Amino acid sequence: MPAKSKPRLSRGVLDMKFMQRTKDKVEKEADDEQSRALYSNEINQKMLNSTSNFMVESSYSICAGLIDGRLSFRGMNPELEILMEQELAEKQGRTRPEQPKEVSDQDMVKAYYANKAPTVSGSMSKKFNTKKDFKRKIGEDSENPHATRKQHFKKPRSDDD
Amino acid sequence: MSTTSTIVMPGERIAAIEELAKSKRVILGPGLRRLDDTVVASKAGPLRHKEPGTFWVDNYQRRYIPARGDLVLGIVRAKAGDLYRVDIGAADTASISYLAFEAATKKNRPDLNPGDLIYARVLNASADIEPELVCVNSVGKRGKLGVLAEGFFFKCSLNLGRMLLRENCPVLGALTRELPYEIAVGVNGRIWLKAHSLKETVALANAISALEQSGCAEIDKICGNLGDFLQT
Amino acid sequence: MFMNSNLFEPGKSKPERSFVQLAVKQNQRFDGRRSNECRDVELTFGADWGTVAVSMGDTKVLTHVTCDMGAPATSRPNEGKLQLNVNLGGVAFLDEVQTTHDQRSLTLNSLLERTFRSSRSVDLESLCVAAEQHVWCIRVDVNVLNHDGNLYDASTIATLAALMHFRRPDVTFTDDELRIYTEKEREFIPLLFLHYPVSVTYCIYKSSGQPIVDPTLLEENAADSVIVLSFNSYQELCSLNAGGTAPTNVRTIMQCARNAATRCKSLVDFVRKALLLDEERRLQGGRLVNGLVALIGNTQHKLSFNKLMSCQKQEPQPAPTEKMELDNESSEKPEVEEIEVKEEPSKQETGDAPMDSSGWLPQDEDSQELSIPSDASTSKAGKGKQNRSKNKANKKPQQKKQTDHSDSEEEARQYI
Repeated sequence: MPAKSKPRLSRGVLDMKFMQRTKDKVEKEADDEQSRALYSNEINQKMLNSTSNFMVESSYSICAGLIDGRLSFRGMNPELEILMEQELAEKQGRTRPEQPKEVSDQDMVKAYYANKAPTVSGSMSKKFNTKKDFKRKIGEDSENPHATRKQHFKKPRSDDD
Repeated sequence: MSTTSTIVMPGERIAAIEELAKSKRVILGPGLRRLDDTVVASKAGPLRHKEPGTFWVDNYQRRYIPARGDLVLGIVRAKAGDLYRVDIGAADTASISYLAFEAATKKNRPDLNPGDLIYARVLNASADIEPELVCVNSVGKRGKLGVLAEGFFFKCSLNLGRMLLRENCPVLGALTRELPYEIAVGVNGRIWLKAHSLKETVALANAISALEQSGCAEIDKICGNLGDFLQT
Repeated sequence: MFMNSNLFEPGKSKPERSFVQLAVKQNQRFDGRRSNECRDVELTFGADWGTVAVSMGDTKVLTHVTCDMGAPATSRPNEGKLQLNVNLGGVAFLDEVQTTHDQRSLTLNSLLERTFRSSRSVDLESLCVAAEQHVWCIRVDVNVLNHDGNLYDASTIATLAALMHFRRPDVTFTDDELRIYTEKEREFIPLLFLHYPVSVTYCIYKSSGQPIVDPTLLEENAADSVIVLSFNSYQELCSLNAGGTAPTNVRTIMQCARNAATRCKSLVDFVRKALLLDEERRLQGGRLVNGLVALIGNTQHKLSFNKLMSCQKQEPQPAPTEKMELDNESSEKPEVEEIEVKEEPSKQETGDAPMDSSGWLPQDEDSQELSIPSDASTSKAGKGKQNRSKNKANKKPQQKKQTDHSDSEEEARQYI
C-alpha cells in the first residue's frame, strides 16, 4: 500500500455499534471507487466535469403534464369524486393568484399596536425567546447588575445540607 | 403546449434545443436523446414543447415503454411467489408485490386473480429490469389506484390515451354532458369504462375509439358533435 | 383502417369476458348487430387468376392459388394434389408465445383441410395428366392480414373464391412429352368442382342460450365455445368443429346448422355472382387490381355481399314485404315463438320428404329439391328467385307453402 494513501479504519473499529454511520460512508466510498475503476476507460474527464443543462425525463405523463387517468363524473363513484374535488381544491389553492388586500400590512401593524394589543403579543413572544434574550431583557429592564447575578446557578455549599 | 409543431425524424439533430440549452436548463422527454452537446431525435413525430424548457416527440405508437411515475392499466397474469405478474402492454410483464396494496400485510393478502384489471403507478422502470408497480401512494393510501371491477375494458393507441389525459382535454367533458360514467385511462393505451347500463358503456367505448385517428386540433372540433357517435 | 390491430388480444381480461357475457345475455353486440346478423363480406379479385382478398369487417384474408406439375402420391396415382397453406405471419402480434401461434394456425389449417380436401370439393381426378407420372399440384396460400374474429369463415370464403377464380393452363401429354400451353396459345381452364363448401362460425356463451354468428375477436375470445360448421351449396354438412366448455344441446346445434346451411348457400351464390361480375370486367378490359394496397384498400373493385345480394332482393318478390310484416308480428308475440320452433321440424318431416332426425340434411337429389324451398323465404336473399324459376310448374301451391314456412322459419330465426 502506498504511503500517502488515506488512513483506513480497521474492520474491528467499524463494526462497533456507534461507528455504523461511518461504516456506511466508507462502504459507499469504496463502491464508488470500484465503479469508477470499472468504467474508467469509457468515462472521460469531460463527462465527469462538464456541467450540463440537459435533464432526461422518460415519462410522457411528467413531460406533458398529463392528469391522472382515473375519473368519475356525475356521481358514478362518489368516493372517487371526493378525491377529485380535494385534488382540484389543492391545486387551485396552490395556483390561486394572491388576492388584493383591503388593508395593507403596514396599516394592519399600526392599527394593531394602536389597540394596545402588544400585551398579548408580548406574552406570546416571550415563549419563543431564547434564554439569552430573556436574560438580556431582564438586564435591560431592571438595570440592576445584581439581578443578573442572582440568576446564576451556584454550587451548593457543603454546609447547606 | 405549443400548437405549431415541426415534424422530426429519428437521427435528426435539433439545433433549436441545443441553442436553448446554452442559456438555461432543458428537459429532454421521450424521443429525444443527448450525445454530448448535440440533441438528436430518436423517434418520428411532431416535436412538442412546454414552457419553460421541456421538449418531447409525440410519436404514434402502440407498444408502451414503461417510465417511472406513469399511471397504467394492467391485467394480472399470474401469481409468482410474493409477486403478481401484470401485463401492462410493455415488452416485459411488470411485477407488483403483495404488499403494494392498501392495508396489505403478510397475513392479509389482496385477493387478485389472473384476468383481473388493476390501475397502478409505475414505481421503477429501466431497460434492464422488469418494471415494478404499486397500488398505494407514498403514505400507504389507495387513492385512485387499485382493482377495477366490472365495466368494460379496451385498448387503443398510446396517443389516444395521452390525448384524453391532456389538461383541459374537451373529450371527457363532452361525454359527461351526455352520460354519467367512470373511466380509467392508462398512459399505456388502455381504457376502462363503466356507465350505468351496458348500452351506455358500449356507446362511450365506441365514441372514444372513434377518436383514434384524429389529432389534437381535430378533437376539439369533433367534441362538439360527440353526441352523434353515442347514438350508434 | 385496422382499428383492432391491438398488440394484445382483446377478450382475455376478466372485465371484458364478463362484459361480453352480459352483453350477449341482453342480446346486444358491440357493433350494433343482432345475434343472427353477419358482417358484410367483401371480395376483391386480383389481376392474376386465383388471387382474392376477402374482408369481413376488420378481418382481412388474402388468398393466392398457384399450380405446378408434379408426380402424384403413390396411394392415389390418378389424382392431382391440393395443398392448403396458412400463413398467420400478418397477425403474429397477437401471439406472445410460439405455442398459441402454432395452435391458431393448426386449427385454421385443419378446418380448411376438412372443408376442402376431406370433403373432396375439388375434382382432383380431373387434374391428372398422366397417371402415376404427371398431375397438377394446386397450392392455396391463405395469408391472414388482419384478425378481428371469425378467421374461419373469412379463410374458407377466400379459399373457395380463389379456387373458383383460378384457371390452370391447358396441357397435353403425347409421346412422353409434356406440353404446357401459354394463355395465348390455348385458353386457361377453370378447376372442376364436385361441390362448393363454405363455413359459418357461431359463438356460444354460458350466460345465454342464444348463439351469435360471425363473432368479432373480442366475442370469439370471450366465448365459452366456438362452433364452426361447413356446408356446401347443396346444404350438405362438410365439417363440424365444436369445442369449448359451454353446455350445448342438440337443439342449439341444429338451429345453428339450419341457419348455417342457408347462409352458406347464399355465400356460395354471392361468390358465383362476384365471379361473373369479375368476368365481365375482364372482358371489358377494365383496369385490373394490381398490388396489395389495391387489393385490400377501398377500391371500386370491391364486391360487397350486402350490395350484391340486395340487388337480387329488390326484384319484384312478394316475400320481402311479407317478411317485414312477419317480423313485426313475431316481435310482438314472443311467447308463441318457442312453440312454433318446436313444431317446425315435424312439419318438415311430414310435409316435405321422408327425413331422419337430421331433417335439414337432404338425403338425395329428390329431397334436395323439396327441402330447398323450405328455406327459401328466410331473410337471406338470393334464393327466392332461383327457386321460383326452378319450381315454376307448381308455383301456386309453392307460394302458399312458402309463406307458411316463412312464418315458422322467420320465427325460428328470431328465436335463435
